[in-house]
Amino acid sequence: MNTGAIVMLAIGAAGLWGGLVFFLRNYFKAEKAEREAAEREAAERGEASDREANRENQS
Amino acid sequence: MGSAIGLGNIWRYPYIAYENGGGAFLLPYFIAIVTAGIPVLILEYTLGNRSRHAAPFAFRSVSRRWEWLGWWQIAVSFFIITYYIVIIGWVLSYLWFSVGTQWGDDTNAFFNEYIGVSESFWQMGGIQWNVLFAVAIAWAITYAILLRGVSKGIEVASKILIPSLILMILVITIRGLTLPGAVEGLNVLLTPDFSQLTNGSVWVAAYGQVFFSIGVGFSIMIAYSSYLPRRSDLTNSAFIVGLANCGFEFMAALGVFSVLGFLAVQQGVPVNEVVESGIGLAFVTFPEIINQLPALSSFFGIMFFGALFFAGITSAVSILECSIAGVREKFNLSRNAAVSWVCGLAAIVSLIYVTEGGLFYLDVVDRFINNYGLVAAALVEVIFIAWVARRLGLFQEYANERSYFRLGRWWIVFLSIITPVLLGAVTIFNLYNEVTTPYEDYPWSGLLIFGFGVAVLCVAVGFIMQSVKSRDPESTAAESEERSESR
Repeated sequence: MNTGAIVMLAIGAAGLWGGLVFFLRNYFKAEKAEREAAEREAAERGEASDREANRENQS
Repeated sequence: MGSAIGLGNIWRYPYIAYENGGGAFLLPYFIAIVTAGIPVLILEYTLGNRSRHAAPFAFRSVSRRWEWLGWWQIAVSFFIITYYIVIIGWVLSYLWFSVGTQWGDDTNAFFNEYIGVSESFWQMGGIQWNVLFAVAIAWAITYAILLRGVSKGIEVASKILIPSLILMILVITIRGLTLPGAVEGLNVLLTPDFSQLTNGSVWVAAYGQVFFSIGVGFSIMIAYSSYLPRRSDLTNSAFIVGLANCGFEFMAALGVFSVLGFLAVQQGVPVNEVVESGIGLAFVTFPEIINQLPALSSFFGIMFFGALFFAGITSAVSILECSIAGVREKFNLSRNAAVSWVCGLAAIVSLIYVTEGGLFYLDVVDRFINNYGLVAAALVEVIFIAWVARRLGLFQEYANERSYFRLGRWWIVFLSIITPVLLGAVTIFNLYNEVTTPYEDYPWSGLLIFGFGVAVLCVAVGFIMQSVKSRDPESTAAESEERSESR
């Protein structure tokens, strides 16, 4: 393959497939952050409800 | 992704890239993706997701007088599906013919005999029953997927078909790259001719390709995004779909040109003598390549036509879905009724392409509906949102509220200036060519009826549908609200 063709192949691959990988990574990162936030929220709510139950038992 | 990746990715892009500067085409192509393809895709996603409606009511939610624009886009999609499904029928037949390479040595004669092409444009002839049989199967598969609904039908089908399609194209590309002559093919595809970049028609081709390929202006993306949860990351999704689509066609081009290089070496001719696009590439050149493969030719045929079939069927269901969603909202129909009406009507119209003259009519409708239906409808859409309704700022805010990747000022600049100017240039350029040179030397009467006539009919359908009173629009709106709340 000639040099020009190899360079254009690299540019096409980096631009299109590289760009796709970048945005897919964003997608998975956002999804993970969302999942972690939901888990944190659930854990906090659970702890709060445990504390409330303990207070009720002590009184 | 299933909607964006279609037959054009496999058989149109490689030829367009080769014809317009080879490797140098990548530059205008990238610019077209970033300045027009993805910005318009984000616009359509935002419009659909925000309004929770198919195109007509989505445009109506912006301005009551613009419902027709959505119907225009739906009419364009409707006419596209009437011939697209016929091509899927041919692909199905060729999937069968691949077993034992039944097309023989003269693949051109075989194809002409299979579709029974007539000698002249107006010689319509009778129905080709073998083609009709294949088209009926294609309709039955599409109808069955659509009847199962969006999540159980379209989503499930796409989850199976799209990975299979990518795998098949990967197999074809890897096989192609290992064939003798592959390098010659890749050199022809990728060697840059930078002098072409000063040629306006190359830029027009790049913008045209990006528009056809990503599938904006069809109203499909508006309907699909109305089904997405309200919190969906629209900007990131648009980039993923746009880049996956373009990355796929780039990979397909490598596969197609490596096998074309192989064919050229086998025949002892330069690669540019065997380069074809569209129907010629798929149904004449590819079978010829398959014939000359050293081993596993039937397997390669099944891979190629299987890939075309999967790409076609996922696009077909999406093209129909936008009409179905629009009709359901307008007439307050059940899903089954809307699917049956739209598929039934489209199936009747598609019969015209199953006749002996069908190939001519298909060719003309395809040419005009793409050049003056899709691009013109997308142009009007952008002008309407950017300049008439002036909602870009509002849409930008909506997209940014729910997106990981924030849209900057560039998005508004691209959509309000660059995209309309370039789409306008594409339309004028195409129209000029059309008037000065009759397409494929077809008779003017044929071009006026099947070409300009169908393109104008789509606009007329838009206005007619707007004037028809919606059946119980309040319950339609309530149903849409319910759909958005349930997500």
